[in-house]
Amino acid sequence: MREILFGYGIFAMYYVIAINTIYLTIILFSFNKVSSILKGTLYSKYQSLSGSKNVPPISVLVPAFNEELTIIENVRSLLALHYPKYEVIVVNDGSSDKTVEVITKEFNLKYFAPSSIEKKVETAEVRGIYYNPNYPNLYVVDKENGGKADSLNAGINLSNYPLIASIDADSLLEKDALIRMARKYMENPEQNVAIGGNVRIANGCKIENGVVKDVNLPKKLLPMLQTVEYMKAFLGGRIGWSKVNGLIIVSGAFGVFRKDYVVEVGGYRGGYPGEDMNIIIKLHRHMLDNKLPYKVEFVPDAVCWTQAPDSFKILGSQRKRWGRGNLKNMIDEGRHMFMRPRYKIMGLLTIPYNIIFETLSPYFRITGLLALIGYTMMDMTGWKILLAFSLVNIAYGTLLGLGSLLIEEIAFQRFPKVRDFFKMLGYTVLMFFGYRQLGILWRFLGQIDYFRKNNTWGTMTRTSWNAEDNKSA
Amino acid sequence: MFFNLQMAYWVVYGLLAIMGILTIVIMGIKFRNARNQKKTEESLQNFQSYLDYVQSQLDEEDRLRTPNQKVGDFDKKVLQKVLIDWIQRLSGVHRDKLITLCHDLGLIDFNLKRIKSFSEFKRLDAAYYLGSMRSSKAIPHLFKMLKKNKEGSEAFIIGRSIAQAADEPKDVKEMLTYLAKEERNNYHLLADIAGESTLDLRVQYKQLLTSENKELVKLALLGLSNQTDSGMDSNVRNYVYAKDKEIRMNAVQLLITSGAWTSNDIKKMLHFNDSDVRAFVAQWIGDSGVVQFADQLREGVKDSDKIVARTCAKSLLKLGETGFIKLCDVTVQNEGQPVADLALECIQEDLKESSVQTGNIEHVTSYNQKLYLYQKYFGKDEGLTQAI
Repeated sequence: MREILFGYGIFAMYYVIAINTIYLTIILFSFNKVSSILKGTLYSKYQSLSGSKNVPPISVLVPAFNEELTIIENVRSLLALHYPKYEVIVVNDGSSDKTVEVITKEFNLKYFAPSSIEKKVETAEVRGIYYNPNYPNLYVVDKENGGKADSLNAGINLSNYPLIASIDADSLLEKDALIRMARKYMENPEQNVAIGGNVRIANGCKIENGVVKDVNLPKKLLPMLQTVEYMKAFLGGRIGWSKVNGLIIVSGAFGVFRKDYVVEVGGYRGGYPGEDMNIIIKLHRHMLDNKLPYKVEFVPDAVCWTQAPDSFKILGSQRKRWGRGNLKNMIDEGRHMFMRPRYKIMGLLTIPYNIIFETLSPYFRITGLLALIGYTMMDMTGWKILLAFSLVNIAYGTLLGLGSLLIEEIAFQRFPKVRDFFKMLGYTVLMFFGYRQLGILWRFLGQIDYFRKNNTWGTMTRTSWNAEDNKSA
Repeated sequence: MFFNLQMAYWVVYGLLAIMGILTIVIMGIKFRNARNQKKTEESLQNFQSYLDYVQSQLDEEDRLRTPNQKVGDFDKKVLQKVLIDWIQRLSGVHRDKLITLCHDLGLIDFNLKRIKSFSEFKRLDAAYYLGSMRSSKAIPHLFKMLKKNKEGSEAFIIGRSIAQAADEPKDVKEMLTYLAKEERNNYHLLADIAGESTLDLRVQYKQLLTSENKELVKLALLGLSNQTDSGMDSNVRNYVYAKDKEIRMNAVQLLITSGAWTSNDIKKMLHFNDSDVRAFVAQWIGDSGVVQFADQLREGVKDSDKIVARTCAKSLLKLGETGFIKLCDVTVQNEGQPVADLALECIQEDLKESSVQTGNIEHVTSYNQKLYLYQKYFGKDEGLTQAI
């Protein structure tokens, strides 16, 4: 028994090392790409581009469900973007609060029958459209509840422009975020089918009139842990994955897409969370099936600020949703692409990595740790092995976090204070003492929910942007 | 399964060593940035009175003086950043004065040296500033750099510098031809880059119209769209029938906005077989307020394509009272048919939109007139009155 536990524990240890090694390779790709990103950031003339008539118009889609607290500030911030031609389409997804009332009152919007909507993709019934010519680029679509994906599809149906941007209603875009995305798109419009933006945590930042005025690290534990986690995922991970055209997700909080291809793949998939990953996998598959050259890009200097959950309950709900969405996507789409050479880097690297090291990781990690603990309990002399396992895991993980902090320092420098660096480093280590384990457990529980067909959204509450943690650091 | 405890510890030591190195590198970058920031502030402080002098003398005729104190290499970097920021915001004489000052300050020679540097970053930085300073001396270096950077944003940054610095239109054409050779359909970006040039590029665009590269044809059509040139329509007319939709649309846009088309041509285009062209022409009529095409728009409301029909109806409403009456006529004359529903819906939407538009007395008069006409045709509508 001891030998079996020991053998399995060691297998789990190699499994974790393999994950970290692949991630390290991806971070190295990120480093390879970062100098090119930096050049584009420093020398592209965004100021003149944001007034150019050659920039493609964009429809900004904002799905909103019970967003009465934040919607006005978010819409005001979206209406003030530095972008030549765009429209903001807020889609109220059958909110039970006063989202529609609040926004129609604020902007004096009038009701119009939804007859002008062209049904490119199926959605729940649209009740009406609200519009005021004094705000010519603002539309509000009011529809029956159908979920976030359904709201995005309703937005697509109303949109007038060839590019769509999906934005979460609880997020704030930096004024030049959209023009930075457009610049990347304009370099290769034929191939750039989807472009992701960088999502940063706004908790702790000073926010005025929907604009982040002063960047600070969060004061609370959970948002701080998520700050370093997002930095690793976006800067360390997504830059590298996009370098090899293997990006599996463009965050729902901020992404730009070619509308024609989104419609060709049937729009966003409803019913389950993870629609942001699903649309990207479908786009990869569609382009590769039809042998069309394409790219899914990531623009880390196009920044979207979001509120991170600051309670275990809300964070747990979010992570369980992610776990459920990930599993659904792998079952629906991933298995068709798994290890199939026709799907290139997606089929041979991204999807296998996702299935083996993301979807299945809760099982290997939890059981592996339990096996090593069991082995140590049976023979206390084995504590050294458990210690070695933990140290390798923590050191390797911290190294990856440090790699992301280095990318941040080279290219973006949003946190110039030395104190902030050591705070982020400290939290990178702290992640391994409970937070990571909780994340794995929540993902596992999310998968259980999937098998039990529990498809509820879970706990979700919105906080106003003027709440205490956003006032000042 | 293989496991060596000693080796695991060595791995941990190795990882800790790399982490230590990374931390030192990050701290090094932080300290370097902080030092640069401090030096920049000091330099700006030293030259503050000089920069105030430059700003105050921009409207004067005299050539701007160079500063009395010594300008070191670091100061040059700081000053060029400030001056380029101003150059980008200004135009005409003010911009020219600042460009001359850059020359007098030795910034062009300074960057011409840096553009030959081994460091890729220094070269790109120099290319950016030389373009902004409109230095034609840099053109050969810029082309050399352009041809080394086959992919990525760098090529477009260098291309923009060439467009700014070139004093020969043929250089701009060569740069555009080079950037378009991959045919990535990025002609909008290329048009934007070409727009940085102050040169007259009409001849070059006309030459590109006959190119076999579709990208260049689209670029030429877009580039010419702001010009009024009676000689170009013979070259462009054929493209209205091109297979490529973007070429077709750009050609239509160019012909209609340049005034090359007669009213008969425009009427014909409202029956063109491509619905996007029909919608575009209908939209243009509404936006330009050309009342003489009101009858054609009235017919267009019956178009089999819903988008074209709606665009025609909306354009009619933009033609004022004449258009409003014609759309009311369509509603009454086609009662019970889908076209009447569409027309009535557009009329009601227009009334609702007009009711919330905060504007001048003209708006109010126009709205009252429309409401009067509506009630004359359809009687009082309580639902609508309530909605508006």
